[in-house]
Amino acid sequence: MTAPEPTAPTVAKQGRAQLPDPPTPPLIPADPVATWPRLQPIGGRRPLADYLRELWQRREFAITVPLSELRAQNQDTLLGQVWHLLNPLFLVLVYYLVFGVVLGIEERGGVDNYIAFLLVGVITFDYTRTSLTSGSRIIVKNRKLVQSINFPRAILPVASIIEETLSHGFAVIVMWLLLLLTGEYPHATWLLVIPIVAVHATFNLGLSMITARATFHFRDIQQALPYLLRIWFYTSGVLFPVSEDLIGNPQVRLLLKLNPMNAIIQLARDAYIDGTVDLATWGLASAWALLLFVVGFVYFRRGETEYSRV
Amino acid sequence: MSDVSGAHPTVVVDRVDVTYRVHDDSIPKLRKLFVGDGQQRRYREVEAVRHVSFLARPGEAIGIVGHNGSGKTTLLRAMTGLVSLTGGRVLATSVPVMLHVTAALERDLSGRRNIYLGGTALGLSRAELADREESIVRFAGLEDSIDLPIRTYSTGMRTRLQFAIATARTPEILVVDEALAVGDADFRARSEERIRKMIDGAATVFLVSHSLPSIVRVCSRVLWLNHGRLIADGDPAEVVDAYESYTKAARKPG
Repeated sequence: MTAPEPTAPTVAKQGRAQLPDPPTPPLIPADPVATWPRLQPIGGRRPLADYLRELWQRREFAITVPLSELRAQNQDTLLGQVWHLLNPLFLVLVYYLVFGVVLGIEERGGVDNYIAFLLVGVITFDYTRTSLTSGSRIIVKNRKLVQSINFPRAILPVASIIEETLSHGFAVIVMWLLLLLTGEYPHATWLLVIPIVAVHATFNLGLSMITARATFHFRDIQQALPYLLRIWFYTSGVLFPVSEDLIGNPQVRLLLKLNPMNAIIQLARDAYIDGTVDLATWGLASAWALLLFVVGFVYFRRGETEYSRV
Repeated sequence: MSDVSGAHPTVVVDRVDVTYRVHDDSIPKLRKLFVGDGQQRRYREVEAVRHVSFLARPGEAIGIVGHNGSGKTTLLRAMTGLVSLTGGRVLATSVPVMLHVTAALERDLSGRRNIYLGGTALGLSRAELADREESIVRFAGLEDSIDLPIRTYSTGMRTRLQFAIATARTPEILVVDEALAVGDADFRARSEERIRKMIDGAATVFLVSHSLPSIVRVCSRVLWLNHGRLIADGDPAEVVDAYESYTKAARKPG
């Protein structure tokens, strides 16, 4: 113990106060579990199998939290969830005026229905944006909870993604209605919404686990995140198709095409607007989702024992 | 008591050290920059718990006393696995439940909805909670206000609710940190009664409280922590007596 004494011992100062002799420590065998088989170590990192089992045991918590959050949010406002939707819808309007009417992406990029194109792009991207943003706040926001109850922390990003997915589900339904208004008609591929959202949710969960831990270590990320998201937004093919007509440089085009958000948005546009299925895009999006999920989970769990630090 | 023989222990705390590394925010002295050893000390180490060992067995209610900053809460947090140990180890038959459900509760939701939120945070299923809902409400004495948002509750009401949720399914090991002090006399009596029942049912309860009478009434054993060290471990009346006369003597000047 080379550390300096942080507090002056009261005993030395006040000579009259006498401490009793410390108690004799109990005899604890070198391997307590051999003597007392029901004991398990507390604290530290749990083996993966135990961790996953505990996660599963707390599944009802992962559902109760988002439902409670949404209910609490909807209580105060008249329109509730609708407000979350108005923001992307206004954005669609703004982008339509600037890129559609002023710059004429419709003709130059070869897009038939630019409003529909924007609607699907903006709403799909917004799901990742909100997931990432709430993911980055997750440990800070649940600080008290994390400091007082011991549970597998991965339940927090899972609960947050469930909440974002419920909001996104609502947004997709509104988006479909608006698509009909813009002259589209329902395709059988609309039913692909479930696998599309599943791939997208896996992707978002992985990403939000990464931002959750990264923000825990470096709070600055929370400030930088909006700008990073903005850059990502403009490079994800939300506003324009990544086509030869618009992007001449083949290397830039390839890079933009490898962007996972571009692939996921493409999946959604194929299914909701064009009624087509492109296996290459599915492969690319699923590979990204799986990769980010694994990386995110491993990275997040490495910090498991640190999150409760005071 | 401290042998390999005897009942299977519920908690084994084995030579536990917890040292916090805290950011030292003292204003750097310019002179030190030039004259100092060149190595600025930015962190300070606080030894919150030092080499503490004890065994807890089923049916024991263990009180922990000590002055502010003696390491009581850190020891409890170490037992619930919430703080990383610098040395030693903690083993237990199940993860001790700390009575701090407030953290999981949502201010804007009703007490009833919060029963489910706090309960599932502690690992209870919604079905279990539905079975116990009525008795939780009754125990907390919140029949009239259970459907109001808990932001309208008083501190006492909130504490009663969290105590009722945390003890809804008798945990094997319960850790109560300064909770009983908040309720009124009637609630204190009822919660002490519930703790006694839990002990009769072979649970282990840890109780940190500055109310020494409360500790003597409820506990079968008391640990005394002083600057992170375990000073005494034994009969409640004796340890509390020794602790009281020590604090009195320490308070007197000279």
